[in-house]
Amino acid sequence: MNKLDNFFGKNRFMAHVYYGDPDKEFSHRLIKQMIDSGIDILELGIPFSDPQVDGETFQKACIRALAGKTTPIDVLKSIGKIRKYNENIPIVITTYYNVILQYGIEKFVNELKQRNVQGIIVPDIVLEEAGDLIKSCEENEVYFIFIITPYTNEERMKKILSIAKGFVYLMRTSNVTGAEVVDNLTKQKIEQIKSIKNIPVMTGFGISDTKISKKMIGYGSDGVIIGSAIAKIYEKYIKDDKITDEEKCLNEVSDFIISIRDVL
Amino acid sequence: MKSLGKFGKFGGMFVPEILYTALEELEEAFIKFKDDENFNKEFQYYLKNFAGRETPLYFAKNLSKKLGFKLYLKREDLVHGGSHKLNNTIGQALLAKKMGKKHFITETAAGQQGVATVMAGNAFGLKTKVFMGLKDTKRQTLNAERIKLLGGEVIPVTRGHQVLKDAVDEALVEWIVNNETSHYVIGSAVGPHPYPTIVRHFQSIIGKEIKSQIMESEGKLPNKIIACGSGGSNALGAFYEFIDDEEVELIFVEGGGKNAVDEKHAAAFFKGSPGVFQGAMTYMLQDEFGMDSKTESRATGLNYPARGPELSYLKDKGRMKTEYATDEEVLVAFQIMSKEEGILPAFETSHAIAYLLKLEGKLDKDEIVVLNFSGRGDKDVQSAINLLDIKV
Repeated sequence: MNKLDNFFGKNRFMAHVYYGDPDKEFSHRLIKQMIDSGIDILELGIPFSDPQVDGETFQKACIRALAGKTTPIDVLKSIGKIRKYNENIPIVITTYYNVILQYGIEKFVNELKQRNVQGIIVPDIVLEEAGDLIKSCEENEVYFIFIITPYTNEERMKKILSIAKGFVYLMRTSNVTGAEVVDNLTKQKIEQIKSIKNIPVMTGFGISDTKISKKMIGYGSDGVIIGSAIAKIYEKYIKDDKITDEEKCLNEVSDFIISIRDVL
Repeated sequence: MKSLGKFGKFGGMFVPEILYTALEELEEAFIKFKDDENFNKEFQYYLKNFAGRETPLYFAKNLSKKLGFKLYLKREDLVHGGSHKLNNTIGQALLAKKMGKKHFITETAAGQQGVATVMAGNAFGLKTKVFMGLKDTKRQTLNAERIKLLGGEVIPVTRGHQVLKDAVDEALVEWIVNNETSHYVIGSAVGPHPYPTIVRHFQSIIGKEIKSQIMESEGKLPNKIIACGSGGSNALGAFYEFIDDEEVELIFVEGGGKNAVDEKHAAAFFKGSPGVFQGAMTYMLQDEFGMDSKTESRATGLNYPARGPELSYLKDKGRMKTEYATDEEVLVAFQIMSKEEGILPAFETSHAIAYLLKLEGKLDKDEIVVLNFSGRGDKDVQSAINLLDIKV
């Protein structure tokens, strides 16, 4: 039994943080604050040296975390500490593929299981290359979370959905043709996914406020994924790679999370 | 996808899902047109009349005498724009037109790829955006300015360390956002499938010409072919035709930086290991956790932490020998080639020359060595002047 099973009766809020930005101690206080303020799923990111698909905010987060010598092992270890203050929240690990590959696919996924992690998101892999990883995930009951994009056609979607578990990550936008077109595409995709399989859809990418969050829920999304909007709040408080005025900073993060929580 | 573009265990398609459709479309177009008679006729027309092919295979008599064997230079520096890069950008421009694209996106380090993309883009009516690491725009100002003069848009990349790999990431993001109207022109034999295959295909004209030219002048195949590289567009272009000719030794020279024994270099074959980097499984410089290492090379175009996947395959198979040249050796090679033969080589090409010079006195006088002269040195003249403290 995976914590993500039967988890979606109400709309959910998944929050993404890169662990170690700007340092490990702050990450723990930030994560605790986010959980206490009402996030439903923690997406814990492993800082990477070449975060290809991340925007500027997360690129900087990775640079800061790596400058502080945060390693994938630190991130894995941090899960135990997080579990000490919260046993129940589903945790999803996000990492670029080479980190898993160098660590050893089986060893990595097995560690996730040992540490009570429910899912894994790999932003730079497609189904066709993920065979070994998906197999390890199945053996360890860690859900491999698939990403579906506005460009994923129906045939491919069916292929992905036939093995998808937990929830699917719908990438909201590609900014191409203006907000309205993006919204329509997102709405269409949610309907299309739901018509193929009864699986929760979490929508993410470029979701920064209550207005967009509300809209996504209106389109039938089972929740939202928010990442860089949170990093944007705390990075304002970073000076010389340290958080200043931490109490104020965490309160601001809290207020933001509560405001999103309220519209879901 | 019809294939995942594997070269043994290397290559593949390690990309965000959002690129899948665009790569599939590109593969489909490539398969459809690569053997199409009209497409190839048009490609040949532009290679001849726009790029100036075929390029000479020049017998370098002064250096031949000095080194003690027969040296031929494949003069890719004479291709329009000053390097072999245009061979591929013409091919990809034709493909982009067939796919109905309106814009070109590319990245560049030394600027040669940027220049060649804008040139081909202009010839085919495609607007070009060139992503270039901010540091590289400063090191290769002449080419950055050339791109602008040609009407291309130079976008200085401020992410990461502001070098080639960062420019690749930015270009990819741009492609993700605009992939319906844009074609991303990768200039080296790197990245996800089908790029390594496409680039090698369009560059393989180099080796085909070498073969027919050397057969005409010498009546036999060369003993060695030497090429510099990082992704391998010029090296694979020169080597590919000879892969089954086992008697021809293929030698690849990468960027040794200040000294490839310490950390400051770009020698991924010498010091790296297989990993997944920017779309493909390949040799790369990385730490124990899979983080790519910061690289350094005097040749901006070789300053990249990974090799092309097909090169990795050829290395592991034992078909290709790998060497590196240091920044100092490169500067010496630059001067020797210029003075002996009257041809200014690019710093990239000077890596191959640096290895070539090490063969002095070691070969039989009838042995034939072909050096792929991938680019001209104009873009590096200012750096060389500064390094050598030349005053008139």
